[in-house]
Amino acid sequence: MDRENSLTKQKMHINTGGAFVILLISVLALTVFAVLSIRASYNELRMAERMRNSVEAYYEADQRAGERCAEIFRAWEMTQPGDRVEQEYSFELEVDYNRILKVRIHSDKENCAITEWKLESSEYGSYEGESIEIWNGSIE
Amino acid sequence: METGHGNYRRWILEMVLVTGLFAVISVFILRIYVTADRLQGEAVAVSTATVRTQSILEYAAANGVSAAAEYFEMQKKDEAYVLYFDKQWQMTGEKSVNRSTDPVKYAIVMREIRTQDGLVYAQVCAGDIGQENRMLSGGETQEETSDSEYLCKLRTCVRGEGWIGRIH
Repeated sequence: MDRENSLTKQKMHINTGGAFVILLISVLALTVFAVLSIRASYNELRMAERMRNSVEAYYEADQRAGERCAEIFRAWEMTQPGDRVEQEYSFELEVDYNRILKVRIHSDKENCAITEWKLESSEYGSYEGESIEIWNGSIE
Repeated sequence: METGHGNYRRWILEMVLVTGLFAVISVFILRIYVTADRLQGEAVAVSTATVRTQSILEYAAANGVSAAAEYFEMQKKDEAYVLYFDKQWQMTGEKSVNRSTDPVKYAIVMREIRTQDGLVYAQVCAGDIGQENRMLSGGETQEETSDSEYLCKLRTCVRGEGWIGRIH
């Protein structure tokens, strides 16, 4: 009778705490993935906004350059053909921190046209003329 | 000494506790996933709007606003041209009357602005469909305070029709 009782007890023995351990591991894993996914999405949004801002900055400069070109063309048109001389106009407009828009206009007695419309990197942010300390590979 | 019945009760209690805890925690985790999905949707909307707006503006700048409207098959509405998109940025027809079944999510509006000194500007604006009326009416004034709410807003001089100079 005693033996039968102890067998029943053995059969009914259930490990408690295992479910909590599984819960802890799954919650930890889900939280890590959730944080990683929100970080990735946030970075993606920031990148998209940066691209949008950069495009908007370019077109703002492009518009200003167009207006300035129109002024030059208008002045050329208003000048009498006999008074026109061969000339080269050029100007630069800052797009953003490291980009400039270079425009060059050539005019002569018969023509006034844009010869260059170029987006270039500005000197800001370049290392030209600066010395950079680079590790030479030796450990002292 | 603990009986088998007591053990079983403890196990049931543990399961109930674990399930309850998991239900509460999963609500927070699910909210994080939903926020991540929303942010990613916004990122896709901003980058797609920028690319589409830029391509329309480039065409308009080179060939004129009406030529660009014809090329991109835009619908004329008031003094502007409009393109409608669903949430996947696929082109759709004009929005329906019933807003609940309306697949239109975004709109791109192109306007031509002529100044007194003879300059012609093309302005292309992409935004949520709720901003359509503001995009159609506004934009003349550059001091619009809520520009940042648009997905993308670009403006430049048109070198096509009406451009005084020549590009070499």
